[in-house]
Amino acid sequence: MSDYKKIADEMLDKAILAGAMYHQFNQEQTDHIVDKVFEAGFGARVSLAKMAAEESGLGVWQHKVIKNVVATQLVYESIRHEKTAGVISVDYKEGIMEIAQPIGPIFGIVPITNPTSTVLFKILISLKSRNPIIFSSPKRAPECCKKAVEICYEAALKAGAPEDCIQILPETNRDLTHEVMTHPKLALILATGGTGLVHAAYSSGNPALGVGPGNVPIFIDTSADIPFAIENIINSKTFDNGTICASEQSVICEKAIAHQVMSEFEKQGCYFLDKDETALVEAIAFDKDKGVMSADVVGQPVSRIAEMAGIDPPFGTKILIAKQEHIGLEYSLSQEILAPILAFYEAPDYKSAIKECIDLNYLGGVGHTAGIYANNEDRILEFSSIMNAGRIMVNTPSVQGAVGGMFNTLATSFTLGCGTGGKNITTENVTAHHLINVQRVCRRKVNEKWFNFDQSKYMDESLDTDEIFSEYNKNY
Amino acid sequence: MANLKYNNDAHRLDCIFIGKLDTQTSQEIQPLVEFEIETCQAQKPKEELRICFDFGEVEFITSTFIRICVASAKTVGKENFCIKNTNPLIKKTLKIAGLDGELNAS
Repeated sequence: MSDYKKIADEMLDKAILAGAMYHQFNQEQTDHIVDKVFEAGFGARVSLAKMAAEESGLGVWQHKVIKNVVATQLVYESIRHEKTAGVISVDYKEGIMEIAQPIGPIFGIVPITNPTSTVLFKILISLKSRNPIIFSSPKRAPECCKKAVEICYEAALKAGAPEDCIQILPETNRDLTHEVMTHPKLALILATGGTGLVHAAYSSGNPALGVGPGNVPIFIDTSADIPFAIENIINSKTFDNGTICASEQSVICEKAIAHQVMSEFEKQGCYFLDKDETALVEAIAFDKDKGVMSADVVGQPVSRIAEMAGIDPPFGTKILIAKQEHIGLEYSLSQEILAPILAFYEAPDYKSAIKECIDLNYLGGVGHTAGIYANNEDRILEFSSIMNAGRIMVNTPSVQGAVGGMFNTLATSFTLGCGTGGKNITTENVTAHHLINVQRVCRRKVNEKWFNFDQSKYMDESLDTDEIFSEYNKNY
Repeated sequence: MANLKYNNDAHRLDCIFIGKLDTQTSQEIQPLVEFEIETCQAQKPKEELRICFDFGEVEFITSTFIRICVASAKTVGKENFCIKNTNPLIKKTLKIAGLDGELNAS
């Protein structure tokens, strides 16, 4: 037996035992644990954020504080009144009662881009659903992740949670992750990370809730309030230097308003790259051999990206914007780059603009998120119906909108389901209720039509559908 | 919380537990059980001691208490250890933990 197999076995045995103990807890006991863990996580929001920014070298610590607040306060608010233990609903009219059962040990994969907020979020939803969780920390930020786990685990134990309800792998490596992912005692993988990792989770043989990649197109309609739209896009795209997968990747507008949109971007501190500068940024922002964004630019500020590319944008530039004409795998900037770099498309008319949005949406971001700025309901509806995205943000910053709780009433989450397009089973924002098995207790409510119908008629091939239906639907 | 009785004729230790066996209670029980097992084994060192845990009045268990069960079963051998009268919730808890067979729980 390999050492990794042994570690996985031991951790899963502990998790199974913790899950068995936790299963005895009622709603009140469960909520008490969640309350205390929330308080501990929220209390550590600043120290964990600073640690995460420093260790990972990505993003902005103040924004990571906000992420930690979202992952604790807003997540807590969105789940605190949810019923997740015992009887969770009774429908007397339909005769169906629902009972929640925990699913068992969860494996939480943590991305480098959100190394503490993802931990806080996944712990809260796992504990709320009475499930033990095992974490795998990102290679480049293991300590902050470990610290977040320790803080929450200590608070959970003090509140009476079972031993080993939260664990973290002693090291991060592919073999150990594989052993845990494929372990027969594991119930579910909460996979947040790169495409390869999410694919590995889906291939593990265990159920997985993963997040597909994003490539978020933002359409600015002629009916939009342009200064408002640009302000929102900037606030969203610059948040934590663009590390969130729901962040804007491309802005598309009609030629009729393109000049106004560009001027507004410039007025609000963004910089349009010329052709040569675009080529230089493209070269450092995208790893053409691997066909993915370059890890070196992820979560970096404009100043650092400019230095890497050898360009000289005005001091204080918030976002680098590259005008693009083409969309496709061979056009790097039309793909997802988690940094303050935006692609800009100017379409001759409305229909062309929407078609460009479709191409961008399907270029690696199917099922994730799309956005529209408009004050024309018909166009909002048409755009929303055409996009393949779990979340369509309307006049809303994409990042803050997609995670829910601030600009809308979506469940606050750091695991954004992308539907079958993203190889996910749900388009919802994943939360505590996705981590329970719901049992339906069904009282006898007979279908009178079924029982009054002479079922021997089904055996008679000479009767056509109309004849059978007319008899079946007869009133008695 | 625990009533431990040794049946000399059957060379069997009957342990009746009551209430919620949380971590603190289990930690208090652990030395009592260990001492009693040792004492009973000393009575008839050549005979195999049997241990029976009665869960008839047990409402809740923690992993600390599970460890007492597992350690006791290990001391006398799986075939000489049993848990009886579990309530359905405890039975399911042991089932989820994968220990109902290991501990001969009924």
